[in-house]
Amino acid sequence: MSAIALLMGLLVLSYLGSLLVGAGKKRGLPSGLEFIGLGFAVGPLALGLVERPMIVEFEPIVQVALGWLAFVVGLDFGRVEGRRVRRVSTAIGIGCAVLTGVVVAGAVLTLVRSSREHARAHGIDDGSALLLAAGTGAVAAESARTAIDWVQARWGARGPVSRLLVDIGASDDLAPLVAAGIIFAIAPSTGLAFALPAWAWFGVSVALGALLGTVTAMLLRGAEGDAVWGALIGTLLLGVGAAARFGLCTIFVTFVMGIALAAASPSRRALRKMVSPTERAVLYPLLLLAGARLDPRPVFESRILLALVALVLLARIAAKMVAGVIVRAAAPESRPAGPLLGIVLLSSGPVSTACGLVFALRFPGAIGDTLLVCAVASAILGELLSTLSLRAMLTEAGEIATVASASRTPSVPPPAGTPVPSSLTLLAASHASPSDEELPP
Amino acid sequence: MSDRGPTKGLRARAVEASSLAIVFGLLWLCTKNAPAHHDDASLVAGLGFLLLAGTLTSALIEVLRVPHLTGYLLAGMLAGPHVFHLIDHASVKRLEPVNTLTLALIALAGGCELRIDALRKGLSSLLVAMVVQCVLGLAFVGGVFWLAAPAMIPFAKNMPTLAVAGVALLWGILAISRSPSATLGVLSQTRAEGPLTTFTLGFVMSSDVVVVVLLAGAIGIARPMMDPSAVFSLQAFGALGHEIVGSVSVGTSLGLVLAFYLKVVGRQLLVVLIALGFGATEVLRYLHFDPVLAFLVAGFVVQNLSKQGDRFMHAIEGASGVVYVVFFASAGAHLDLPLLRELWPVALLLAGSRAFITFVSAKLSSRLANDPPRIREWGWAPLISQAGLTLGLSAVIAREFPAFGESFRALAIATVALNEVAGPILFKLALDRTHESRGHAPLLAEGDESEARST
Repeated sequence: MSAIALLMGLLVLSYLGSLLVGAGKKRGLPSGLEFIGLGFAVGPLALGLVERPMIVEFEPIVQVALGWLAFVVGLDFGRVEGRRVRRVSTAIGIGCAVLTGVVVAGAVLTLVRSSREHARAHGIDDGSALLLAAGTGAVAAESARTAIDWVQARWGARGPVSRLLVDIGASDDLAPLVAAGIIFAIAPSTGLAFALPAWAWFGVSVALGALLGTVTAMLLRGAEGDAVWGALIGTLLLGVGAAARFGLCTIFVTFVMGIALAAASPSRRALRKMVSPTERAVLYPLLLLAGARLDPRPVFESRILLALVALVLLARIAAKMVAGVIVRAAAPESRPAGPLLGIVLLSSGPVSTACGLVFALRFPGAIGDTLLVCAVASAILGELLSTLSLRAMLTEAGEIATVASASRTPSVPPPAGTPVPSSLTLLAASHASPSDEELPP
Repeated sequence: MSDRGPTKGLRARAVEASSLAIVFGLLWLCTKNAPAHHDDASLVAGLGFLLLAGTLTSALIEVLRVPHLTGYLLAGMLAGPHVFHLIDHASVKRLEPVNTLTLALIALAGGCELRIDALRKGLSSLLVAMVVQCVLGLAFVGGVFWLAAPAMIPFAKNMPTLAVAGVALLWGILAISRSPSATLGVLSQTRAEGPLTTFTLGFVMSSDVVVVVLLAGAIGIARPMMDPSAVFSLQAFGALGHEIVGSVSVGTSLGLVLAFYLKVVGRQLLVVLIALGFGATEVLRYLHFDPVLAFLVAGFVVQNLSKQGDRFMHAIEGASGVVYVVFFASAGAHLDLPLLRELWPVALLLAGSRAFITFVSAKLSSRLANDPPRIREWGWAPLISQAGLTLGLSAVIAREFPAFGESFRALAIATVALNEVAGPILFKLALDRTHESRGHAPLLAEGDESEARST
């Protein structure tokens, strides 16, 4: 397949993605795993339609797409469909993600250090071990919001538990992205004209994102039409390119840029409305390329890496179960969810895959490949355990109307000409979200 | 950063200037402290920089009433490999795929701008202008080249007289080529409407085809003049005919499909345009057809054979805003300033003689065709610009005549650089003076006065 043919394929996916805005939340799998699978199928390890040199050729596009997604996440950070996420939910979300990340990273580090000789035989020295551990913590930390969105769209779930889960999913994106920023700051590019300690490089990342976000906000004052897109795309490209040149984390920089722009621009609502339809259009081709990039061979050829991936999944399960207990303790509205709330938090999605992919690009070889495999494995685990558990849990909590309960409702014929609301819309009306202005600060 | 005219206050200008300084400073820091060794990061940062710096520079120099296009070129020149060295040659080269997309959008937009009723009204004027400009331009500029060759043109100094005449003929063909990209770049900024705009669009778009045909003939004639063993062959015309007919056919089909899509689906036009720009171009090149001509015809069909023309034009304008900036900024970065420094006397002579004969030919053809006053007065200004099309033609000549081709091409690059800078400025000046910028209605009194002066 030529590069142009691959580009056409990606454009078709982007076209489909942009058609599925809004109503598309219930289509396909919430993690986008089918696109990763499609990418793997056409990739160099399966059908070979997309060859490895072609994947390398598309890396600039992948970097920019990753940056754009992180920017959209940052622009919308702390908000869900226009309303502000409560501080308590934000704190819970971030706390759970940090807990998960630390548990997973700790488990991995323990494994690698306990098998030091074996690890060294596979090229994992002490520095790489730390990188590997931190990276697995980053890719395993989040709980994807897309799963709850998917269940809500499919089955019309409404209620305090689903709202809390959406809030947690929206706010915990911060943890893996900051972790990625820190990890990259520890290992910037070689050949730079000056050296800085890791904390300073992290500060540079934050400053770069904040500067570009603020500059964009200034440029957008009074801008119209394609001048707006020019400012957004231009600053994003400059941010991604500048971060990549210094070996900093591009997705962290653009995430900060999004937050800074949302904070500084009076047109933030219009901007969110403008850019959110592009998310799927960018995501689907990106997931396909991630699938094509996926190379599990180093994992299967090395027992320690295989054990590492398994340990990541187990540690993630354990950490999320503990997180579920913490959520139930901290947020009384989650108690109807029951003790298996942690299972539901196992959903994994685009942010994790993006982290895995960015690591794979920055640290090519066994480490990057292993981190991407961990991200995809987390997504698979989430699909298998989380999504259906979520439906069952919300049904149990009374937030999804069942067919049986709907049929028990006595049917009273309405007056002539009166529109008959469905049980789902009644349920939705009873749990209607307050508007942004009604929320306490 | 705004699309509005020069009515911004000092504060807005200060914001733009400081943003530009930040953008330049950031890329400078990257270049000095993180040598990228021509990798992807350099490309992405360069692309973002060109987009931002081009837009900001054009906004800042708006006060000089020059077209935005000039700002894009200036930003590229300053950042390019010959001034501040912020963007290297390799990155500029890797931006060429953007040109593929831009040329497709330009051609589609150009076709969309051509309306049958307006063309019918101005057909005689166009025909007369085309004949006069081609004949006089070719003869005069070719003559200047032939006269200047022994003294000023290094690669032609030791050529036999007949060979110099052949090269002069080829140079004359380059001289009568115009720039659809610069024309549309200025028009997209000014949103101009009026007789001068219609004339310019019709002339520039159709001269694209005329020049390609004439070049094929000129190559066939020039070859035996330079190589006595070569014979004049019509084979090139056969291939050219296949290319033109095929391009028109495919373009017509493409236009009908686009019109159908716009009517039935009409969504995600940006993705469709990108797919056309890259995918359709690749297919057309594989078939040895001319993508620019095919897209021109497609745009024309959508505009004139369906009701989707305005909608399609709107979609193209939305997509092309960003792409134009990168196209012209990278053209600015690509300008070979050291070459211009070396060849500026002869480049200035040739560019100047071209401008002079364009002016004279325009006046003559307007008189012959009895054109309206605006075209009579300013019809020469839009025809000065030259850009990618001319460079493309010079590359064809360089391939056909390897003995002197590269030197010929270098001279063309230097001359085009001058026309690329001066041409859009003159065109915008003409649009402003005729009040066609931003669709200003013609003043009845002004029209009467001009008419009185000319009789």
